[in-house]
Amino acid sequence: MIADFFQRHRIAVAAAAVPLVVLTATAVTAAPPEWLTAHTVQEQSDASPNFRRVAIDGPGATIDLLGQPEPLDTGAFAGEVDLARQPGEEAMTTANLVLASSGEPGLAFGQVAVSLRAESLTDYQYNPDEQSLVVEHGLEFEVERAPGIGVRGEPVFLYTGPLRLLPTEAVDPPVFPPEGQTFALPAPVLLWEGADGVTSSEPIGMLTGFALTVTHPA
Amino acid sequence: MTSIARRRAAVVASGVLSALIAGIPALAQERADGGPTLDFAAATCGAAGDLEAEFLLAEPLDAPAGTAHTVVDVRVETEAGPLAPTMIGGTLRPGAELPGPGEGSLSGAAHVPAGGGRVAIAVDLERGAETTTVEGSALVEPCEPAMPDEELEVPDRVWGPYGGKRAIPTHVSPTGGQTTHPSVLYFPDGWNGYEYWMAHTPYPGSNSAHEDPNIAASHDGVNWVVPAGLTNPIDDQPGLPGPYNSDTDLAMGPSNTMYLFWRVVIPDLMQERIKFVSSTDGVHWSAPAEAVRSSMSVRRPLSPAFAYVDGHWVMWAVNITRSPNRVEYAVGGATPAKATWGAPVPVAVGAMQREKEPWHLSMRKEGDEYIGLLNDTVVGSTGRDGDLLFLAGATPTDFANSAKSIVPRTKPFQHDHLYRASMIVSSQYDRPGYRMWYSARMALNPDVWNVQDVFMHGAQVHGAP
Repeated sequence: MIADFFQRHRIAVAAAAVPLVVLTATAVTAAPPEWLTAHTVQEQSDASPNFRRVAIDGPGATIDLLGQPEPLDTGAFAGEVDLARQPGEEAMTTANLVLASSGEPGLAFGQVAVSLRAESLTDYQYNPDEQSLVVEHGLEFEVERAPGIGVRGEPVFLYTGPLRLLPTEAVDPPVFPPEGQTFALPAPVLLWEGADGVTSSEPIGMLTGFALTVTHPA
Repeated sequence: MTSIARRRAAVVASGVLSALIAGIPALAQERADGGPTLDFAAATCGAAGDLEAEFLLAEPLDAPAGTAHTVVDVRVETEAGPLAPTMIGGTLRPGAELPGPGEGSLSGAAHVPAGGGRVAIAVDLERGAETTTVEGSALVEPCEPAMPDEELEVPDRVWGPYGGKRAIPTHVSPTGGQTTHPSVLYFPDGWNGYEYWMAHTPYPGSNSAHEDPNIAASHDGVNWVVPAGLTNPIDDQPGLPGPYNSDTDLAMGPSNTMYLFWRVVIPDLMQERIKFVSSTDGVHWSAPAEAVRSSMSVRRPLSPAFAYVDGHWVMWAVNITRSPNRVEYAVGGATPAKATWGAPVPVAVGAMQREKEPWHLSMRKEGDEYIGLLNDTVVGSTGRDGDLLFLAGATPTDFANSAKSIVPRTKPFQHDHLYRASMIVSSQYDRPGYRMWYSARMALNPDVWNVQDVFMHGAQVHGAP
């Protein structure tokens, strides 16, 4: 059945600028955690002052809405994540993620913004032991409009449940930051409509595709 | 170990009725020196007669800084025995991290028997390899439902306070679990040994894999059991991204036979189906059959409600194919089988609240009139900020509604969204009214579903009973 989702035609959804904050929490603390010291760790220094700020990009996200015959695709995205600032501070809105149209023909529903939902630093992290990116509270997509959801003229907010992104290729030994590595959603996760972080009661579909690559420390 | 008495209490108001303070702690908390403290905070007696005891777990201000304690387990025991984990709400739950000194506390509210008595709580904590158990207790006084007076009857208005939480056995949590979509039938002289029968769909953490039709029965509408010999669920679907069940409705058909209806969504096929089973004893159910099958792009009949009227089946449902959602009514034949249904016609349910649209409903014929409960949602959403409106109409297609919610949307620690509900015509203290079982959700921290039981005033609105 999952294969069926991907076999359907794609609809291009133009995408736009957004905040996205990713990756590890523990790297921000004063003392590196035990699991971090066991691996190759890039220390912050004058020569490399911003390794905690990483750049990412991805081919986009695929969203499958119940009742819609075709899945929706966002365009490719790129952005920067500042791990040195606390979630909820300005870093959340200044680490912009720029989404671009995939260029494919299709019905456009407007711009999409995506950000991580985080209540604390531990809500998202990179675990080098499993080489995975864990997002405890999931992703928030702000969509200019979506078929069958929301009120015309007002943005629609879509939320995923918790998710874990796995590497498309394992690296031995693991390095931090995981520069050059691509992480992808291994299986669909539920998608909910909502507002202000509060989701509705019944899922509206699934996030069936999502991947990102850590391109380099800024 | 030391013992520190705390005497704090809070009153939580509900509608016009205020809750009553019921508890005075006899023994508030025990702590290991330097370890977290577990304080009794309050006992709250709701207007519906439900009693809650709240405890707070916190690090002492002089605690050394370090790795946070993590809650491993929370156990509450009353004089009637241990409580099911689902009867403990709030942020004090397994997996929660205890805030640092001076940064706050974790709160656990236990729904305890209305008879009161001693309530003991134990919390297992973990910090690295270190494990600790913190205990506390309190003596709480009995809680009685608020006695109505003349002022409770408000002309032209059906209303009630928020309800008392009920432990409904589910196939996921046999001692009582998170569930929704209650549909209740009442038999004054009993039906196969029970006066109350309920259909519902367990929905722990909003997980559609468990949202399968269950049956429970009761002698009083408060204490619910699974009838001997019955194994829940009645039907099992895998849940998203595969097919999932939802939206149960119970109705009596001909020959003293009970019918259970529910909705099935099949994403792969882009289909919505309404299935049903029947039983003459509540234990043995027929094989599932279909009442309705439709393409999602054509019709999405949500929350179907059925009645057997004058020799034929009728059905109401909320069509959510496109916003604004619309209530529909259809007339069937002598059986609910899908081939017998006529084309659905629109139902007038009165003006909706601002920026709201219909979401779920229940309906029944009472005498010559039709009464129902309409659960609304924010326009364009799928079940958010729901309220419950009372419906009354002389025909099955034309209703007036109560204009505003008949019970408060918010009950501290237990719900901030109202959902599908079911009611019967009843009386309390010889006053006519309606008894309602409504489902509700606490949307955040964590996402929890529960069923509440409440008596509503205002029977003169539709002239019954």
